[in-house]
Amino acid sequence: MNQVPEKLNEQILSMVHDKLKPKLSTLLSKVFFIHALTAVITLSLCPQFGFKLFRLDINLMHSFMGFGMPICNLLCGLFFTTTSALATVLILNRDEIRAIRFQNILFSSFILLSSIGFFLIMNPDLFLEFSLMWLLGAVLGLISTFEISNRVLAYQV
Amino acid sequence: MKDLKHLTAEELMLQYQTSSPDAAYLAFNELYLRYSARVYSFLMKKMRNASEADDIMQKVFLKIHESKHLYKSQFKFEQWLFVIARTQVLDFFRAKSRYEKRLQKIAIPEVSNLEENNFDLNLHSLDQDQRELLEMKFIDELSYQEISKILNKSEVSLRKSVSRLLMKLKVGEV
Repeated sequence: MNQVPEKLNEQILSMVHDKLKPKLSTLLSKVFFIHALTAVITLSLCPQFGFKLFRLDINLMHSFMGFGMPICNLLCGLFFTTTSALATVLILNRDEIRAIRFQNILFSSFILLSSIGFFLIMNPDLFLEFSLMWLLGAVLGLISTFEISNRVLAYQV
Repeated sequence: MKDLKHLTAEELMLQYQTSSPDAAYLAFNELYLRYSARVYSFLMKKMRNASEADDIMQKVFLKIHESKHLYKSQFKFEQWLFVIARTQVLDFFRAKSRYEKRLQKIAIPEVSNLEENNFDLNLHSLDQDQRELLEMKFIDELSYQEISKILNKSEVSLRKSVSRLLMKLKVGEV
């Protein structure tokens, strides 16, 4: 039997290793970029804490408001992060999604903190109005989207 | 975690498909340790060229990585692996139209004074070992050093054999 050259072994193993464990900084940058782009669109459809980027006819917040303020906050947070997470899942590859799913807390915190940071910069009074329900919805949206998509993508859809 | 050495290839594939990146890498590593030598031998047999075999070997394992979600555990992993290896080899030959083009090339430098048809006819009348030797030298463009490693013969004797065969082809003895 032919002996596989040691160099070839190393190349193949490191290639798969790098694919399975992409660099954290690269992955965080990609997630941030996708989230920023998606946020521009979602903020136009569903303003968060009254913050709206473009004037569109569709305003989901009015529909959500029909369920009352706490539920509206929950749904707004859910919509905001689920859309971002879905865009991330569509753009990134399977290995990157798996890496995110197994560092869910890190990536969810990163998305949430960057969003809250952005809202606070735009409106410093927001902190007082900040809703726990929004946070709950946002966390639910992120974790469930990454969890479900990872499970679906592990096998052929 | 269960010792990977005791897991079947199919169980390792499941771990490779669904576990955390670290565990998935360990599973891949174990699969690679178990099967890489056999895949490499298979490729060397088909390609007869170390550098091409190396390239295809990388492609095979990259393909395995990228298609891992398509693998179903009811099929034998080994079968799936060799189907991929075979497909990669076929793709390689198809892409280059390797044999046809290079078979034409062989006739030009060494035996240009012969009629092409006669040459092909003569080439086909060589026995399997002789034809393989000429193919390695002129189709695969292996050096005598590389051929000697594959066939386990000395470079000197290979040189003699090749030159003898070419002479035979020229005078139409075969």
